[in-house]
Amino acid sequence: MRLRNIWLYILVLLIIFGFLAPYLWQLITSLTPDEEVTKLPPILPQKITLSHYPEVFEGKPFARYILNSFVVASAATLFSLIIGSFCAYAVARLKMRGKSLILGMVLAISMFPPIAIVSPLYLLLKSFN
Amino acid sequence: MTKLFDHAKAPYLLILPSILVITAVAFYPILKAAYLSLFEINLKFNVNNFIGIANYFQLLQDNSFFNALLNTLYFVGVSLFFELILGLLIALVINQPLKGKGLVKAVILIPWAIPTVVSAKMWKWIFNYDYGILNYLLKFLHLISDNWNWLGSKTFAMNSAILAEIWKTTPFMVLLLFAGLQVIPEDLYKSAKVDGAGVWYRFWHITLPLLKPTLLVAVLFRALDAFRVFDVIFVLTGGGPADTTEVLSLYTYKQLFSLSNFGYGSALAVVTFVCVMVFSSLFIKLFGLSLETR
Repeated sequence: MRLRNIWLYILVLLIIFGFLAPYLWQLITSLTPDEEVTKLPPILPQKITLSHYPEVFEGKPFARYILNSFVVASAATLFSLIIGSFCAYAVARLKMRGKSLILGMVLAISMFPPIAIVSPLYLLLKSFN
Repeated sequence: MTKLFDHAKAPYLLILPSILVITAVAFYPILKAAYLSLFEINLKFNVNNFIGIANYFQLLQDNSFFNALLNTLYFVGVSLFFELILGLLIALVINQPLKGKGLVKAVILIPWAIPTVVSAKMWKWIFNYDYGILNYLLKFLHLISDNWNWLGSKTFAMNSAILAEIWKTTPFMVLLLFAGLQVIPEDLYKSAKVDGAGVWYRFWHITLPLLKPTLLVAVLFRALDAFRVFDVIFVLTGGGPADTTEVLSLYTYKQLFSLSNFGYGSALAVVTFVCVMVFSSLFIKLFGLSLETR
């Protein structure tokens, strides 16, 4: 029983490593000075630099980008949560006809390739100039 | 006193906002795309002619389209196969009594939560021919003697993209299958154990049959998602080398924006949609998936 547990934890560690390794490599690269980035070996940089992080905020309004993402994400979530919860409640709890139709519709829409929606929207926005 | 809540009408009133939004952001563009597909539209040359279904005839003779279709199917098939196996294995592992299970689940979900563009950029750096860690590690382990051109060779490019996709979407599979595993009553396993059923027997005769509905839904969702693949390929290879990684969404994108062929691009989009539609209806019919219980 104990041996089995050890194997289980080894497996779990392997899984975690598998999912994290690419990030780890990205983190290491982010701490590597520019002149060392194109050098392999060593895997770990000789010198660690933190200069890439302030650079993110230089020359462009990066804080603004974060704010934009935040605004878009929260507005979209709030909006769809309100509207969606109405609809979900009606479909799940109330008696009505055409439930399958509505659910099928939702599924059908989630199937539509986003790239296809782009062309009409592009033309629309273009017409607004 | 007037009724504040009319029970007959209430459901329709409640779904109305959703229907309106869906109409505006989904139905309108879909119908518009279908309408546009009947025209020859080129914004560069200011062409706008009604040509009926000529775009669709052109499509049937378009080798690039069939190439993209086959590539897309390959991408869906291979990535789904590995995601399913890996996802099931990992779900089974984290379904065991473990310490720190919450943390493990959170860590596993990270790849799924990161925008595809970002993770694809990450993989591009890993796959890099000269400075990529992958080539370095494989050489270090003496598995390869020369650097492999992961994204630039016809043999590897698609499979590399699939690897990045598997890494990114397996968490979603794990999440769904794990939820399905938790619904299976513990008693079943206990009584099977008492009857002397081994691990394999329990897996094949309890876990798999009871997990089947979840598995089917997971496969359907992932297949539909993979069929529309765009970002991973766009970032990693851009469709190259020699169109070996060109997929439907990317080909459509190129027709629309690089070539400004809005009519033909829309026809491609409609065909993609129809393919997906037919596939999923068949899938639902074939396996008797019920939408209402989901």
